[in-house]
Amino acid sequence: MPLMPEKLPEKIFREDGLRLDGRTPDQLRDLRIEIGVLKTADGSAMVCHGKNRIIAGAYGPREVHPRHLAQSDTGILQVQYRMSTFSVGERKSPAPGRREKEISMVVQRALEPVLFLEQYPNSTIDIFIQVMTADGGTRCASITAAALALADMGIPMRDLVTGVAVGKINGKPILDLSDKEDKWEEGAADMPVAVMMNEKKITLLQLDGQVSMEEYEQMLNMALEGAKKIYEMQKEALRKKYNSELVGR
Amino acid sequence: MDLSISKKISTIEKNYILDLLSKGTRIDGRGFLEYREIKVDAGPMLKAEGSARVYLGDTQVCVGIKYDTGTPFADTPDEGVVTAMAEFIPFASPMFESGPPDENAIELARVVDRGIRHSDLVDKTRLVITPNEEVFLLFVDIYFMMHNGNPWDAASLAALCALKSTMLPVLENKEINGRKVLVPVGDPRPLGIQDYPVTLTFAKIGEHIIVDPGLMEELIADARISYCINKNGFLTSIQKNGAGTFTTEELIKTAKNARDLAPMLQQKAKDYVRDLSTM
Repeated sequence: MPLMPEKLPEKIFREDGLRLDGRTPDQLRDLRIEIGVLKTADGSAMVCHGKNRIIAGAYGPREVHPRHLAQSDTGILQVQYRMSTFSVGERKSPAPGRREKEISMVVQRALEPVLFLEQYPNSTIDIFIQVMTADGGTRCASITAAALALADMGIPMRDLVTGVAVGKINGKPILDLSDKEDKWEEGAADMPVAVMMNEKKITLLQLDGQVSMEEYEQMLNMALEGAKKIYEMQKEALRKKYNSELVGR
Repeated sequence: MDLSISKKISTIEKNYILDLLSKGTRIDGRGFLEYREIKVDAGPMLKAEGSARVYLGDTQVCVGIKYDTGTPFADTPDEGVVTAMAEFIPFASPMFESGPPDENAIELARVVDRGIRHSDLVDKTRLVITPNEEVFLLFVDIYFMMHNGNPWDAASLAALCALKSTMLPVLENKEINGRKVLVPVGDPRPLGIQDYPVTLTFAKIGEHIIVDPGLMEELIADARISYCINKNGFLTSIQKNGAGTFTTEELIKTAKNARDLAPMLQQKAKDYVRDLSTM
């Protein structure tokens, strides 16, 4: 017998116009970043964004497995995005699904532009992303975490990459959709964005839902504003780890 | 300690460890029957019905409990089902590769599973929703975050703590829009546990036997034995692994050592309360 599905709220905006969790349309959820959470990986980071709890660990540059993926003229980046079985309401099957495979690929594409992969022929940089709790916008938070794991590894990078989602609900653009907002269907759209903040270059863009040209422009600008704040927090987290390490010496 | 070591340990390192053991000490300075520091917290598993993260030195494991509902097994119509699954996340060690659980992960899940099954840890009759028809299926999902030796003891302690903290909804059969569904009524209730089974693993290196092997020790060990001990000091499951052998004297001595060390691990579980506020 099936379980009764989770109930969605009847309204997605409160009487006072604020969102269900009390945020204004252009407000981010609480964000906490920790660098170097895994002693076993060459670089690692944990991002707590809303209730998202995402851990990224990076290795490399190292030998490619399986061998036939190696390229003699450049290094490669391999990304594995996985959801833990207990990261969502109803237990997720441990086998990776189509969604996880697609997200692994788009995250890889979003991160490649900041790396100097041509410097590491025949080698790979591996990033493993594990979602311990999912709360909407996991691919964006995963990119934010993965970029920090790369930086923590200490390889040259052109910039960090910052992920943030924008969306639209009842025709109103909002920043950083929560899980409930993500599942809302009326007049809704969801647009994950990843950006190299220094040069404002977009490295990931996806859209689910209908938006007008005006809304599209508005949402892109909103995403950039949000990403700017996250970018500052990313840099601050790195400084916090490495400044204290330098002082410690 | 450098954790980025590969599967192969050099002869020099192996001889060094053996040399230390013959002098009565270990590479990290521990005694032969001494555990590394153990810490337990709730971990970042906010959506699990129960959870625990165990640090055993630099080994870290996360366990989350989820449920589903389904029909009971034909031979146990009045019992729910508890199953364990283990996955080594590739960032837990440079030795791990991505892919479905390998034989080591499957063995580990089965060691934890048997520890749960052969003690009275979970009263499975309490997992019945409608006798013969509908029961809770509990999933004990184990994820290795950092591998620095002895995943077995860390995983079984984390599973025990996670089960101890598990809250389950009270489900009732209802008909909604002509469709039969299970609806949660009232507040979730604690699953409740009745035993404290813990796993204690010994490694045999040459003639020496040590408890709670670190990664280097584990990799050069000739053989390994894991005992599961319940709250009464009874053995509830044993798993021997590795190409080496144990004498009967060694088996009796290590089992008694396990019994004597078990209360220390059990106390960690007794003291554990799931607190998500700092996670």
